[in-house]
Amino acid sequence: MAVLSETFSVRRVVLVSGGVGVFQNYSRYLNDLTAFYGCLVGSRYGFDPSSIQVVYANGGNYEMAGHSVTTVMATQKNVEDAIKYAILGDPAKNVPKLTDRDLFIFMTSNHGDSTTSPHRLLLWTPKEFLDTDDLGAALAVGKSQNHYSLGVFGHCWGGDCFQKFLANTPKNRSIVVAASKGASYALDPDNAYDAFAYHFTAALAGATPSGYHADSDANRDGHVDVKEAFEFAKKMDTTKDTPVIDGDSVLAAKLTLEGIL
Amino acid sequence: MEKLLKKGNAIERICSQIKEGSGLEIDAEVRSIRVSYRLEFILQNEPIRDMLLRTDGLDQLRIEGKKGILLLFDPDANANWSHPCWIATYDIDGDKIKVARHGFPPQEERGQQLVIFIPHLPCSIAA
Repeated sequence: MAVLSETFSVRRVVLVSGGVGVFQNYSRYLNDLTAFYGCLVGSRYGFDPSSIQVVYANGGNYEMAGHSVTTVMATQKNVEDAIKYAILGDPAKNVPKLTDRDLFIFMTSNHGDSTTSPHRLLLWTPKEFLDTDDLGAALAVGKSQNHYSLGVFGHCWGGDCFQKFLANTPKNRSIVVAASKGASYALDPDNAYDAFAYHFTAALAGATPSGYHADSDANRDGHVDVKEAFEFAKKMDTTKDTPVIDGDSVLAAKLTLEGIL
Repeated sequence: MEKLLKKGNAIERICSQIKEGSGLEIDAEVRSIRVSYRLEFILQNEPIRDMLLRTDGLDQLRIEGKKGILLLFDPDANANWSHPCWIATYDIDGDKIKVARHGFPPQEERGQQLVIFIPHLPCSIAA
């Protein structure tokens, strides 16, 4: 197994899905977040559950990968607060800000709005959304901190978030992937997950949520870097998704959820 | 409602309007359409809103008769929103069809949710 050149000290995560309302909040969105949460806290990566903030629909407690998770309502303010807390920490609670040895992950599912400019990630209720300017402003609080950042955009038109994410996170330390430049699609045959989110998560975890092996370590070095996970998901996703990746391409082949190769 | 839609030949007439308006290759694209309708009738001059409560581009769908049926023709039912679809109204009293291209489905509320009528539109209807 290849040895990591550096291992992350602190890893903080924000998972977001709004769903708009009860009739559009498809069950797959909660499954997407749950699978990603399970990948992070599982034995392979061992994230601290307290470092993962889940912003989901109208909030509430959910069972995720054996953990009881308290989510907060998916409002613009709550998403922005979650991002800022993850990046800046809270000195009053002795939670330090991220440093150059740390990783920030932002992951989304559900609907996006392609009919507005700037693009919007839709949240809970028709009036709540996070547009790309809002996202950029929230991320910008940590632009000088030099932490690593990974954006995983599973919602529709997630590729529209790339520019603001990359421009407002530390330079040459960020990677973004998205399910699609257009609409994103559910996984056949039962729509239990979004297709790209499912395969990307399985690639990182090395296994599907139900435990089947995911052969995603293409170079057989014992680690799954973001580029390998993206290529695996792109190959496995047979829907009309158009997966995209951007950011520092050298970093993409070195960035894992444990550290840097 | 389904009997009324069949009696008025509404699905076929909406397909014709979609075909004429969009220039789609009917066999290749429209046959994957999922047709849904709202459980509750729409009423005369009732504003049509989408899931984000917007009415832009949907005012033209208001019906002049006393009641009608609100329909969604979704060519990408497995996709998250937004993606192109067609919202249509069938004015029962006036026997009129109106269709608008849109990026989001109609607003749904309890008692007014959409139910699937035709999961995959067969070519025999679409054509």
